[in-house]
Amino acid sequence: MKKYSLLILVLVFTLMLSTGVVAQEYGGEFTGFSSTDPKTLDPAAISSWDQAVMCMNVLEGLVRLTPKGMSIEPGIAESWSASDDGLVWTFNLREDAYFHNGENVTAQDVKYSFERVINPETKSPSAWIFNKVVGYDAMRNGEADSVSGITVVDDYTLEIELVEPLTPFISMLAAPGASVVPESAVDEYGDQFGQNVVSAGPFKLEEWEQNLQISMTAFEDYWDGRPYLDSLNFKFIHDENTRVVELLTGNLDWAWVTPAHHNALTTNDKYKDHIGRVNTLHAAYFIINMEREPFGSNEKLRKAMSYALDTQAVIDSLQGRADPAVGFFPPGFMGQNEDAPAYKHNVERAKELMAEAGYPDGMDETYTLVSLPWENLINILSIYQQNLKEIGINIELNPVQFGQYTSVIQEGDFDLAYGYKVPDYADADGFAYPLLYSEASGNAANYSNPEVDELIEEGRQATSEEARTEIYEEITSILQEELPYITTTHNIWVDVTDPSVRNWQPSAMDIHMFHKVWMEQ
Amino acid sequence: MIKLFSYIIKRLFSLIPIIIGLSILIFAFLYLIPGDVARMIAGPSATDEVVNSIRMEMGLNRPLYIQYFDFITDFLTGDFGKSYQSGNLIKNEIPQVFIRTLQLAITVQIISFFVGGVLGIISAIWRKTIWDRIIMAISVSGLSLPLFWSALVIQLIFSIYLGVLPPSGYESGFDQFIILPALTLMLPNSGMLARVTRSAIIDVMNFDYVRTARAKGLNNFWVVIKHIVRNALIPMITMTGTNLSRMMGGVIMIEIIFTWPGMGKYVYDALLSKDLPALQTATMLIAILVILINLLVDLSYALIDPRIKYEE
Repeated sequence: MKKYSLLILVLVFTLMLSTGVVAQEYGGEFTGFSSTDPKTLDPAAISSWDQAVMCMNVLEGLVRLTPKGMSIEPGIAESWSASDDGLVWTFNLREDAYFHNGENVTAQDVKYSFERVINPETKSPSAWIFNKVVGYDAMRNGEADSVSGITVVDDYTLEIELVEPLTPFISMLAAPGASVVPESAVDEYGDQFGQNVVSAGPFKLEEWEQNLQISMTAFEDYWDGRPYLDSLNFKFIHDENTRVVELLTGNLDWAWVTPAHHNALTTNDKYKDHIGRVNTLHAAYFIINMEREPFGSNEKLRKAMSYALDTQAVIDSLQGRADPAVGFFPPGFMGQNEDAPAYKHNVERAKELMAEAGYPDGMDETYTLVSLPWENLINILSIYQQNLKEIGINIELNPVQFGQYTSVIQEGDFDLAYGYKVPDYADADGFAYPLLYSEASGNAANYSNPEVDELIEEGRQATSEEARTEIYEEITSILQEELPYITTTHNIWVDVTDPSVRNWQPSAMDIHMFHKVWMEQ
Repeated sequence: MIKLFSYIIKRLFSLIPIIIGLSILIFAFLYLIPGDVARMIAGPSATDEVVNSIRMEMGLNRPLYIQYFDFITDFLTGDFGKSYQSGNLIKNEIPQVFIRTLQLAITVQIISFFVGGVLGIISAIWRKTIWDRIIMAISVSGLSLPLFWSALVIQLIFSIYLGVLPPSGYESGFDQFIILPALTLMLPNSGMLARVTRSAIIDVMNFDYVRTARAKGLNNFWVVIKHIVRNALIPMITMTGTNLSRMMGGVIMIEIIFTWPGMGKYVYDALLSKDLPALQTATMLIAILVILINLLVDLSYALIDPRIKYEE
């Protein structure tokens, strides 16, 4: 018998090798990058994208983003349901979720974590996630020291009551700010919690060498099974080129492919099969200040602009690392509407529209286009500048630093601007609400259309997929007529991994997850 | 000696108005950087109430002169405050990054001093020969090549083609990681020093006492070493001092390309995130340090050249 079993084993092995099927292996050390030291991984404190990748491999909330980043999947909550009126959400927590310090995750911990973010004393930039929860305002105003709408039913059941139905609420809960942390650890570390964060994610924080790197190790008791990797490091390397050089020398296992290395890497025998690509949920667009003449008041002028833009030329200049935008919402989200007007590059049509708009001989004045100062972006904008010049719209580029850019946009002190957005949560509402809703602080175009406001509200309240799809398609068709934002392209993320890395999936939301990644030893 | 001492005291006192002036300039410039600090810290999705409460807590709503007065008193008492970004005390963060820059800067200056010095001496002794031409051509290239370019080429050669050194990183300071950034920075520094040394030596060569020394029968080499180099040291040290103080701000680009987490990278990060306390403290410290290095350079003249006395 023993002899046979050995024979079978050998046979199975040969079979595996010959068919190229390799079992997933545990072990290995993956070294990735981050452009800067995140300084803190406290879910209540983080505000930037640089931090999110590192955070989300350590933190865990009720739900989490899928590795592809387009949708959400269960996290600590095994299942959830909303009442028929959409106001009360019930979350059933799994009993086998543990914090890195060994404590079992209970509904009480979730309530504590959410209230910690809402608490005005925490000054969390993520408090907005909960602004539709009953009792949010009372706690923000200091009238209550807990949120009445968050109820612990039993150890593994949590109820959240909203003031109005909000379907995308579940997607918002995948944001880093809605992660669950144990009170005991927050008390233990105090001010230093951000540097010693404890949560329930697939990796736990091991060592943090300031300004150099963060090391994480596999969390054995992760509810979804321990990650394949033994450890996960992020080196802080700001220079894009240095990252590629580090990858080529074998010190990094993952790098973003820079334009300069794109052709060499994608044709290199060692790396060409290890290029990762994903259509991101990123959108780039012109922002038209709808409160300013003449662009804000002249729809034909905006349409002429849309026809004038040669997005394909820009995409070519980006080595094909973007897709042309056909509507307001990136592909992958609801709101793809083939019947809505699309504006394919057409200089003749653009010139006709200029004449209809009242500028048969072009515009006399030169307008300023505010943008961020990145070199690649300025190259792109120069192409658009030429395109617009062709139809008689003269624009002058005004690249400014991030801080100034945000102020200019907030104060509405511009005619035209160029911006981009990655949604805060994986839902069409993550685009529609902040950019279009009259009252939203992210509404850079100062766009205000009661009909769209109403549709956005309906989109937030509707629960069925069909109804929501219809609503966002309707929004797309209105926007493609009114064009407060002229969406140009959606980015394609391109990265490269070491040939030993398996099961790598870059994320459409730029939040790359590592718990299913493994390495051939 | 007592005269030297009183000279130092006088110089130190004369620094006070300079430092006050600098502090006003630094404060003013940092507040002129456009952008709302509170909004940046709060993040793009934050509500106005959050932004306002951050502004209140940071005291950014107070009159400017009060903010300046607070900044200067805090600075003088060594209370640099907390970094907006990390929430850590700045006085705990700065020494670490400062030492890293110091390691790189001093290594580069010491090597450049000798490499540049030797090349300059060789050029001067055999001036107008092929050796002089070659050395001067190398020096001029060294100081005219853009740093980011030489950094990339050096990374390419040593890390990818030869595969002998790590392309970037930092471990303890004086290990294999320092070689490439130091080499890159050495190029312009030693180039500059070679040129300064060469012209200083050629100047001194024409003096009478050098002719006398030659007339005594000393050979050219010993004349240069004993009589000329000592006199050429002053411009060399001035140059090294200037280079050193220039590097103390951290050579930002080099620190970024080679991921050397020093002062330059710290200031750069702080600037990007408008981390005012960190930015103010770091810039003030760098400014003071530059002033002190210049003072040291002045004082070192007396040690090298006995003719220089710091008298009334």
